[in-house]
Amino acid sequence: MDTIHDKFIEEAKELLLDLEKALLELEQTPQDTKLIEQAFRAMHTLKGTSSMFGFVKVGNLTHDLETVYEFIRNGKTTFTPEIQHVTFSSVDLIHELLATNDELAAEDSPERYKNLIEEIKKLAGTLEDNIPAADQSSAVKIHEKTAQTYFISFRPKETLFSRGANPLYLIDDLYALGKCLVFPHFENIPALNLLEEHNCYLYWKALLVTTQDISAIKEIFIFVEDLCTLEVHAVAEGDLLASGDFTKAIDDIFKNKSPITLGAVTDSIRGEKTNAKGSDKTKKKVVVAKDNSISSIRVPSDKLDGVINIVSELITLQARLTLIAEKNSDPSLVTVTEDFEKLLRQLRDTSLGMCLIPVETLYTRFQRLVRDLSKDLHKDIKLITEGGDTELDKSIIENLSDPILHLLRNSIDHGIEDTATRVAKGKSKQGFVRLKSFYATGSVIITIQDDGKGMDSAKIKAKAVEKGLIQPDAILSDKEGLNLIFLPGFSTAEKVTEVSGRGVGMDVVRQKVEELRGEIDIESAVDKGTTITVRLPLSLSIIDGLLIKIGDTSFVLPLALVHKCYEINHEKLASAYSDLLIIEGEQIPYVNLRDEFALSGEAPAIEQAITMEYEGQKVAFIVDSIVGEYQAVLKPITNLYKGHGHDIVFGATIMGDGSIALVLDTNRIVKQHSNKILIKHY
Amino acid sequence: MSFKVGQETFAASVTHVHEILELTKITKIPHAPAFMKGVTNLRGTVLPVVDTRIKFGFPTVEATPDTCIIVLNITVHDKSILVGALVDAVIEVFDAMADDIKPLPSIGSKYNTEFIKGTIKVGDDFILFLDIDKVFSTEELIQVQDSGKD
Repeated sequence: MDTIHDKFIEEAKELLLDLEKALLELEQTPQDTKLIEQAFRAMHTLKGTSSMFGFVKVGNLTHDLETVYEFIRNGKTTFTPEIQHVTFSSVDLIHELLATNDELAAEDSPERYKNLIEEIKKLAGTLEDNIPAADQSSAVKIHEKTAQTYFISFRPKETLFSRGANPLYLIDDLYALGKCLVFPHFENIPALNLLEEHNCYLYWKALLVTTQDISAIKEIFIFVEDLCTLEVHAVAEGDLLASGDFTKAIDDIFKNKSPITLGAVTDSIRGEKTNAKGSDKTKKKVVVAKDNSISSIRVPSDKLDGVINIVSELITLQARLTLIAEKNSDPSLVTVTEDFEKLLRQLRDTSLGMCLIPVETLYTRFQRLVRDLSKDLHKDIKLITEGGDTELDKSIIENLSDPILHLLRNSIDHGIEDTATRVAKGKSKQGFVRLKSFYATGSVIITIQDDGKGMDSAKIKAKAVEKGLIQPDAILSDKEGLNLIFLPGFSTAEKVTEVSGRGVGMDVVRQKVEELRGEIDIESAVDKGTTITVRLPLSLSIIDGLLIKIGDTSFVLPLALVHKCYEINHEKLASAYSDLLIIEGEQIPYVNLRDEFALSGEAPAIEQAITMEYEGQKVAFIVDSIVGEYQAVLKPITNLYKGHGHDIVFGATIMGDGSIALVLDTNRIVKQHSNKILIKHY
Repeated sequence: MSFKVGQETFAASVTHVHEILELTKITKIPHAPAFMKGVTNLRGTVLPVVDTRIKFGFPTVEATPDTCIIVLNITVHDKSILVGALVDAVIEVFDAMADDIKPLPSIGSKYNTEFIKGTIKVGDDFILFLDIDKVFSTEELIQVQDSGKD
């Protein structure tokens, strides 16, 4: 019982999200019929299924709301701000009801509920009498969709009732879609002494004429999918039930107690057609609409995790196999292992890809927030989103939602000024917050940019001194000044608003970002605006790497960042004055990993320099030797002791022979290295 | 379970002991604190290994055939993780009644009492019973000997 219940809640939440999205877009384009359709459909499904699962209040809210939207669909009214407001409030209340199992738990909830029901009834009531004459000119033109006749066979399993489903509601829903002719069948009911009162013995055959498409019909049965045998077939274009002959023919079949099968229906149709149309029509086979293959499937995330785990183990195993193949001189074994490696790489990419979700899913949530918040604060703010199709690992997205929400709140609350101030400064009345996601070699970058009043690093420094977070005489660059806001307990807001100002935000944001092995950066200019950049690694579990050796320790460098490899004479390095190498005419800074890691042993005469990407520049890493490309399955190193060199390592990987290679975060290494150099020079 | 580090014998609750490993290849982690010897492969997971000698402030010695790694299950920040402790020898597993565990006298003792749950008499000796969670979750070197506090 619980899993179906949970499934319902999950799907209901998704319906609410769809509804919200449609509402937000309708605000901009109230005439869009598709959006009205979307909103109506979401509400309709919600109404039907919520009653089935005992969410009576949700059902009540959606019932009359649905009527209102039906009126919009029929052109009796248009989508007004009032309707939008009521719908939004209902959505919020429904979210609450879903969480509390249909109980009005919060103090003000019963009142809100009562008020909403009244408002909705008023809207629905008044609209009933509304003659569309007034808004005729702007009345919504309903898309004239051609009706189709469908044959539906609904055979519930005997256990249907035990799951709380009432098939009559479903039949009602069928009627709601259009003209319907339903035939209940009672043949399966056993003799009274064998009858189990909790079982469902009935089944139904129906003919439905509707302009909706087949998915709308299937949606009705979505929650009892696994509890019945359902068949839906489009049998004809147009309204067959309008034909007296056809309905009579079907009625006859029913009266004769012959089974109303798809075949029988199509035969009747064919019979219809031979009467009415010419010869070539009869040759035409009845279109049995094959439901287009389901384009997506819901898979519980632990199944996905299971697949990824197995793929990871396979990769480790393949490394061992490759080792064995190399030692063994059998050429056919080598070819097979190479092919195996290629296939495995594809499998890895595909399965990792499965876990990726577009950030679009976050964007809708944020639109709502910006809208509500800017209204509350009486500011005119527009949220611009870009790169919604950028995909991120689902676990990263879940963990990102809160930090980004906080950053957006900051931009809206502290960043963007109110309209009067903006006009006085010569800015446009409407401020914007731009949320952008995009890829950049091996990472995903999310930027939050606003054109507000920016941050004054001098002011921040002053505040930090005041709070005793830094020494008064500390000399900090502008950038370092800005980064002070990440210290716990920091906030320059003059008063604590409900939204922000408590100073617990930014350090938690940074912590969350770092937990995801990401980085966060701020840039700001007074009165121009602020841009916050969050950089995250693409994958948490498997990365393409370059296996290198220093002494007898192996390391892995992220292949995505590798540019080129060069041979270097050790002599040249030893005698260099500056930390710059000249490669192909370019001056490239380098990091000698052996020195950096304080590894023992002598460097070989010929060393390898690997140039890598670092924030748009090239940096070279000096190592002893390069082994080759390597698929590294990242194993986390438990972060027992914070900040002790663990942050330059993404994790460890176990190689074919069982030994461990550390996977290096080259960006962090360069950062640490350059910090050290700065200190050295001062 | 009792084990030897340097010249001293210590005891830890056997519930914390996951398994005992022979000395395996340990990969050093750059920039790690001195007592972090590195990581090793424990059947597919990466196990951090702590050099208990350095952690307790003893001088390091060469590995002997008795040197081994005790894999401990400790709770840090409400999470349970595995840590390997490099020790000089494992002695035995023994039973002790709750009354056998005597509290340590707080004055005149060589040892920092935060990490010690008490002492247990085994035969003629008193073995220090360690609070393993505390011992391995701190970042500092444990001043097993309170030097210079007199």
